[in-house]
Amino acid sequence: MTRHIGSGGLAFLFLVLAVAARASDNCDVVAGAQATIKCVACHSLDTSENGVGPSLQGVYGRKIAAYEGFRYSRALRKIEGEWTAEELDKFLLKPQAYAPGTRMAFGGLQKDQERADVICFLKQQGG
Amino acid sequence: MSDNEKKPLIRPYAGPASPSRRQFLAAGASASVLAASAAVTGGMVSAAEHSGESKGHVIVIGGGFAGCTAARELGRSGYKVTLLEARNRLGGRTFTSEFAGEMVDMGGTWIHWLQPHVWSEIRRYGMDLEETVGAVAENVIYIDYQGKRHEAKWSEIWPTAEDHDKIWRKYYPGAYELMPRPSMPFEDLAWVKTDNITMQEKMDSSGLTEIEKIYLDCYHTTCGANAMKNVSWSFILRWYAHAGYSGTVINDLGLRFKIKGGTKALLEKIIGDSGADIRLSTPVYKVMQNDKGVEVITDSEEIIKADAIVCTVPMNVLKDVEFSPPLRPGKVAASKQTHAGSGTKIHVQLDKEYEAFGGWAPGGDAPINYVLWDSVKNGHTHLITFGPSTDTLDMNDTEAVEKAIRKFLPDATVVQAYGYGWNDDPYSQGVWFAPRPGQSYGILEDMQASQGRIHFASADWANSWRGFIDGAIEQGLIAADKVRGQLQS
Repeated sequence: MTRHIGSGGLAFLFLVLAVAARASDNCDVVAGAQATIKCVACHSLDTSENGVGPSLQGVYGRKIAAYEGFRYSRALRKIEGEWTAEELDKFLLKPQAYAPGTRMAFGGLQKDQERADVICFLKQQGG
Repeated sequence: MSDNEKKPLIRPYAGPASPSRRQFLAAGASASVLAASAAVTGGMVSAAEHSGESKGHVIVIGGGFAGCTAARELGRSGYKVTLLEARNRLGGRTFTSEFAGEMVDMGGTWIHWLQPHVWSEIRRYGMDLEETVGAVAENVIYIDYQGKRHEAKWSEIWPTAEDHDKIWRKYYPGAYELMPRPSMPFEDLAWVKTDNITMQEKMDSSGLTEIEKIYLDCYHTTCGANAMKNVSWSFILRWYAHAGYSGTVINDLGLRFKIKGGTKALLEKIIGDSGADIRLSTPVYKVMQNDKGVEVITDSEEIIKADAIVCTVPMNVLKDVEFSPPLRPGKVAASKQTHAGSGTKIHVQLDKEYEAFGGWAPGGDAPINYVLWDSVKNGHTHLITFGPSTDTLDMNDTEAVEKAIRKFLPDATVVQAYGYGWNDDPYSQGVWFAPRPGQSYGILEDMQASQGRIHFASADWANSWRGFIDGAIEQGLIAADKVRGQLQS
């Protein structure tokens, strides 16, 4: 089955492809980019601007609930550490289970591979 | 039968020719007051300072249509208004944002001139309308109770509006006698006995043909945002009564006419007239009052004092806010019980252009009950789908969405799909209000009741269009009037 990314993400996708050779093993950056289309109603992926949620530019490796200019929920503020692949994987599986009360209105990505792809994409993007 | 009754339905947009659809907002939502930019997150985004003496200070908790309407009414009446919104945007259970390069509504969308409060705002601010064609498309694709797919023409199923109206009369027999005053839920109480009947029970005893059942099941499961067995029959009885006891009109009311520029375009007009101090990302976790005034404590421990509060926290969320003195027991019990509205709404983009159609599938176990063809553009089709639950369809699993769409369009390829997680949002914990059996009447008085200086406003307990944008505006108007009466006396 062929899937396409929306035109708004094309330029971005080229950037991603240009550095795809550096992607981690066992994940697909292009599929990850496609999956993050679900995020754009609330998050900016390719600018530093906050929207309904914080900017996701450079989120990989960032301290949890600490992006400048965004007021996080108590639920997320209580969590220490950084957005590593492991933490992102747990959060994206079911945000409300990871941080009960988080303002992120998202049920989660149930497929292991899709989460891995998204994390790969976010990692690329921060590079 | 009169000549009028034989008059055929006119469907100006049926068939392959789609209406033009201008791309109204190129930028993301962050360009407007409805979502904060980095510079103002958590601060005042519309800090219009009040000049001179105000008549008093009112805190509005929640910035959906109820809260913004109350803020405008009170601001224009000379009160200082502080609006506290938990999310980093206004809109409540409406949210205009980006999907496939266009601005679309993720929550509440459709309005109608038979909804007096919202229609008054539409006229007042000169808003234009757009149409969701799929709600009345000539092409129908339906799935029967055995799971088999059929193609049909609306005009062959129901050649006239009267033919269509007849099936609604079978499902709502004696509707006028039961509910002659749909906007006055505490008068003419014959309807109250219908509150404990479920939509499903009525379906099972209504003597409808199979296609009639499929269509009404699809409509009611969609609008009840849950399986019919979980929703009070009296819910859509009230819509039907408001629609002048016409099935044709009720079909137009729920899913057809939307605001050009999205609900956000209207909300910006309303809040723009308020002069309120708006604080986004400011959840309130405690509300206190004594005979002198009120105080709220935000989740960053800020204490804000005022003379009165308009609390628009939704029914399903109210239990999470601490009140002192406590909320009356009926409010807490209803909030803990929750209403039934918990279905899915998904925007779907397909990889080619399809003719306009409406898709119907029955059942509370279906992944999708209703498919509304919205538009075609640049070789793609935009659909809006509704389903009864996130248990029957994982909105975030695009392959599952595609599989569900293929029940209607077997060759469809989904490019992208997105549904906002209203059930996972701690500030909505559900979609629009839909009453469990007994909730249409059983909780209404409790939910509407003010407690001292705190006045409760939400579409969840509106008199007329409960669960609609209209109901939210109605409630904002009523709450503002209560505050004015209280602070003037």
